[in-house]
Amino acid sequence: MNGALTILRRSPRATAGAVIVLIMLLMAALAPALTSYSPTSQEYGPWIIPGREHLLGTTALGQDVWAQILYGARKTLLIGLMAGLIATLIGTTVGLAGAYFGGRVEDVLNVITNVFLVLPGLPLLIIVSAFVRGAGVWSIILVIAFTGWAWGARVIRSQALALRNRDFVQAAIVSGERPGRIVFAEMLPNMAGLIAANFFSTSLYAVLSEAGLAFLGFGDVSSVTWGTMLYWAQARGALLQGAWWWIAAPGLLIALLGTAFALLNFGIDEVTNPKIVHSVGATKVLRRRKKEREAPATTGTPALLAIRDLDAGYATPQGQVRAVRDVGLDIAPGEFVGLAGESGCGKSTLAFAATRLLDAPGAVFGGQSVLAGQDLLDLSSEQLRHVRWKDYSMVFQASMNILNPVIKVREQVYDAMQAHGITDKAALDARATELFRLVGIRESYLDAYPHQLSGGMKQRVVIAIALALEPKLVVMDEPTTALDVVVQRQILQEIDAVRRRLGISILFITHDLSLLVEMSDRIAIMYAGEIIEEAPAKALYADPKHPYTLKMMNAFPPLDGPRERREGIPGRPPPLSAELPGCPFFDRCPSRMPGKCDKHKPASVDLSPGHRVACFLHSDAVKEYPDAAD
Amino acid sequence: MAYILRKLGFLIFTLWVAATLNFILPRLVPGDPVGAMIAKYQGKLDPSAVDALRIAYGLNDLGSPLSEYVKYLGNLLHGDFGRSISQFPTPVMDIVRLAAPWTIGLVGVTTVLAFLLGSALGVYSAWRRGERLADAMPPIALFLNSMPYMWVGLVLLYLLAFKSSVFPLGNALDPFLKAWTPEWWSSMLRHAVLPGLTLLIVSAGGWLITMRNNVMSVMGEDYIAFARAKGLTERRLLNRYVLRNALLPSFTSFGMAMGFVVGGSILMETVFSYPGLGLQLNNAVTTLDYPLMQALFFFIALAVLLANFIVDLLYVYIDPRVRDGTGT
Amino acid sequence: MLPTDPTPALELQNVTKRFSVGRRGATVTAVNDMTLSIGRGEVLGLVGESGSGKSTIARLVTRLHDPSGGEMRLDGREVPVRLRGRELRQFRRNVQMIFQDPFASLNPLHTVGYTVGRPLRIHGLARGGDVNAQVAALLDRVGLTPGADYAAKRPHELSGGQRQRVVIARALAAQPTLILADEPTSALDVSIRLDIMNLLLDLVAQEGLSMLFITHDLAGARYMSDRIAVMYAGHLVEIGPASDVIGDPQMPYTQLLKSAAPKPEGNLTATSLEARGEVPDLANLPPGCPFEPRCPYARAACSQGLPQMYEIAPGHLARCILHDPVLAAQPPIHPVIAAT
Repeated sequence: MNGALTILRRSPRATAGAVIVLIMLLMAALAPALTSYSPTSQEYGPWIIPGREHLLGTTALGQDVWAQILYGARKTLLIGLMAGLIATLIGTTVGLAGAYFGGRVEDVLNVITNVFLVLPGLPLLIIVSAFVRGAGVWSIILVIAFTGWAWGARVIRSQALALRNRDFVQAAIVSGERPGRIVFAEMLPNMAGLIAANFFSTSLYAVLSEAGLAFLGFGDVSSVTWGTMLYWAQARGALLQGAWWWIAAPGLLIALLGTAFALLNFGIDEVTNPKIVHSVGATKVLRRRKKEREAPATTGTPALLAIRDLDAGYATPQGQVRAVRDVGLDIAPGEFVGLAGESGCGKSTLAFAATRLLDAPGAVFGGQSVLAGQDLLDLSSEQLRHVRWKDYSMVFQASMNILNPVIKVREQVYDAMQAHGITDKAALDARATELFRLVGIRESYLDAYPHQLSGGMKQRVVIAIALALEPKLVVMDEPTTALDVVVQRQILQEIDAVRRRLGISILFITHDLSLLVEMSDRIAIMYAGEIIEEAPAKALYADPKHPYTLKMMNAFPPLDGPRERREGIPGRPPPLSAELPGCPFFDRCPSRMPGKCDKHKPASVDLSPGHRVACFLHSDAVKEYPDAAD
Repeated sequence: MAYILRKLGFLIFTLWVAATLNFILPRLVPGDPVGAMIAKYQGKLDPSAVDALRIAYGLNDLGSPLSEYVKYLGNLLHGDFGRSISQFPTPVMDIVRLAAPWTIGLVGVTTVLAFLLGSALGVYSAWRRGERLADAMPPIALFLNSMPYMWVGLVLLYLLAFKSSVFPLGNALDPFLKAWTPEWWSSMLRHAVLPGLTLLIVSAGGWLITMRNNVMSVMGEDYIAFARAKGLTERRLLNRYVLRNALLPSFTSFGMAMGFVVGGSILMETVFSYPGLGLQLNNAVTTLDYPLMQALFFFIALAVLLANFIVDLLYVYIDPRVRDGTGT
Repeated sequence: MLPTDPTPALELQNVTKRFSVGRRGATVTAVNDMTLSIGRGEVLGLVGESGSGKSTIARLVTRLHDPSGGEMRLDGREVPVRLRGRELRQFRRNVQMIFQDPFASLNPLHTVGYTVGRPLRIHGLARGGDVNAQVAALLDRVGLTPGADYAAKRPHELSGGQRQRVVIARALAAQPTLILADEPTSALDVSIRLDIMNLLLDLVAQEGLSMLFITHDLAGARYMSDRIAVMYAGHLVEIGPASDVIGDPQMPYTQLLKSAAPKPEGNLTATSLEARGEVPDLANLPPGCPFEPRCPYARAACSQGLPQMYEIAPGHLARCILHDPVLAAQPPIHPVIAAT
């Protein structure tokens, strides 16, 4: 019930559908109150044009069309809803049974379902109804349900199969639940949306089928439905008499009822199965806060990428979520910078916002991201398209679907280069071969399709593509997290070798701090949207300053040394929607100073060259907000 | 190869189911249908037509149902569907042969057109979502797709043939034309416009919704985000990344869509008196011409299944995963 | 801690699981001739990469899959190959499982109280109002205090760590003797992994449970386990006391795993990997030792049949012919791999 309300609230389309169905139900229920005419009485005179006396005119037999519409709604709705219900029941049962029992049962049910799917529905209906000629409403309902259940069975089966393999169903099985409870208490409630959507789409099918059958003269044409109205209109030559109203009214109402069912189906699908469309041209920059500030004096060489006062996050209906809060970070040419933090700390948002790859509803709220002297936040999406891949590239988290499954790997390596002006066939081929050697894949895989590659090889292809134009900076977002340790290590070594050879800067994002210490020149630790500590890797490992960093260093069990008990960090990070006046780690910090840490935000201070930390244990400096003064 | 054989096996199996339904249904009818029909024709029925009826009902042969069934399937394999009752003694196959080209031509052409038009609009509606025109499309498409075929046909007929007589009121040709002459072609095309438009308007809406949903879910895939990050042009992204992938699910729903269009064509042919399989089926049912009915259902099913099979073959061409037998 | 009771909590003998793949009757062997035991009160770490068959072991023991062959004994009692109905429920009471992803292993529509209370009701361990009291006690037990408050919540109101505690409470509710923990911390944030591991260790110590701790993380396995078993391509390749297996691995594959693990004190370029390549396709395994194609020390004998398990030290066994003085004398056949 709650679910239904949520759907109506979130989908205007579903609401529109529900309103139409409701109006039609009211028309059917209140028919005697809405007209004083009888739908079957033939005493009103034939072919009367719509007017005051007869709202929608009369038929060739002298029946009132409006009365027929009202009373006809009863059987039309009954047939539509009941046939939809029965077909949904059959479809759900068959789909669930197939998914639950599996094996032979599933095979048999599958074949039956597929046969019913491709056997053309209406011809089959016609044949069947020819043999149940003159049958009543219920026979029609059953016959329509009999031909209309298969699509539902197919979609319900595929969702049930997915659910059956979900851990919570497996967990229920392991705890000893009986099959009935597995199906009815664990699986079915999670399929309510799909089943409801299916009910409305089969109801649509039923209404249209009934109308078609009635129009052809099957079923009981003496009863009044919108379909039989069309039958009589056609049979009595309404068209040749110019009696458009007799045809227009029932047909329009059938179409409206069908639309209402389709809207409900569409709306439920929209809400329960949201198609999160990411991938926009360039991240929106909502508010620019231009401030001229000189680069920090700590780095000798000018930074390749200088992120300044970056504020970014997500514009949600509940307000802005600031996932990145006033962050500054420099990456020097050729430098490997690691960005570490737990899930939801804003590390990926930072990287994606700084490179303008953050998808809606993500947005940059303020700050600068200057790559080789050019603020990426100033560029139009067309300008960005040219800068991308040439000046910087990205390696995304390894996923099954990171490469387009239907085109060859070669084309996906080529098109990155083609988009930036390399069109010579021989040059493309030579470069692709060279890249594949660089990342350690046989070049014959250029002519493979992505599904022919293992997860590790796919990620190597992605890295090869990222290196195609020898960008100055490669941003890597958890590039090896989904891979097995051995493959992970091989790929990391290749990344390391390549970046040293080509002098590329790398921003490497991961939750695995121990990995970063080994790989990085410098590491930045993020917590709740802020960089709380930043230091050369060895210094951070040897002498972490921030209590969070210290705790994180100890959160990994070691491979050698004494086996002793270690403690994690109790609690959880604060939600990113909250605005905290003090240090975000206050709640979980073992060394917190109440009255200080929770009231003021510590400023990020250099303790030694390149080692910055934001913690009152090391400096009393309070962070200033340039904005607050404006 | 295994994939194609499997699909072929399924085609044959489904045809067998259709044939078996044809065999069983008449035998499920209670009472004495032949007697009822003879009564209906009030003795005007040719004695050999009565025999044809008895054959259709299996009343001539007092062998076991199984031997009847085997004999029935044997006849089917030889293309022998018996003789029509309402147009006695024309063999049923002759009627099918005359009617089939009209339906297959019209439904085939409009299905391809509807698929292209609907899918193109669906891609536009998804790709430009947020713009007014693109966002207005889905509800309109849902409405068009919910209209009863015969109603669309009647409305078109009323507006474009009855009121303004731009197009003829019915039939497939003007009388007395020599086949394949320019006059014949122009007459054929003029007669096909309204029936084709009827099918096109209703079915294109369905393809629009399907394609829009497909494009939307493809746009959420990782490979699209990655391709965009590479700096590809929007055009290339759309053509090589979005479209290629969004088309695949449309292919799997083709079978069902085909069934709907064929159903629609029966209604459309009735409205326009278009002399195809649907009109014949309607006539066969109203005159209780069971042999003809059985043959028509069998051939309609065959046509739909063949269309599906062709689509399955195309799928192999489009999706490399199916080629390797690893996907779906 | 060494097992004191001589009857192991769980014994697997030559357990095999084959799955059919595709339609042409082809099969892959996910678990091949597995023999191991878990003592009472013992934590056995089971280590391997994806596709090694380690998760299949958990699913065989909980009978989410039926084994294709071999024997299995729980607390010394033979468990039939095909268990159904009441017998299966009784068996499952004793064997509970903790899944990897706490976001997936709780039904989003049920309250915590319902989820934790179900095993109590199914196995008749509590009735009526007593269920609520016991659920609250269980939740308190796993650190969700006050338990009664948490019982009313739904999964979406909880953090990953809290959800995993609910999953653990559900496993405890049935009062099992053996818990199978399938990567229980790998989906969690680093900062809370240790807390969950510590909770599991405390439960083992205080409730006298036995545990199979499945992981791909050598360091985590070392932290949790008394003994460690290593799997590769469906085979058990090494087993022994945790500190021996990690401290001095005797099978080249275990050595590879160890060298691939992150070491903050190390240096990425300095530690070279001793083997290349990727895990073989289970449908096309090499004839002998499954690791042979990648192994820098492979001898001709390695591809002539599966090596036996050699006992290196008491309780420390490895499946590698390098421990056979005669066969180890053969020259290496892949010297090139070792060089790269």
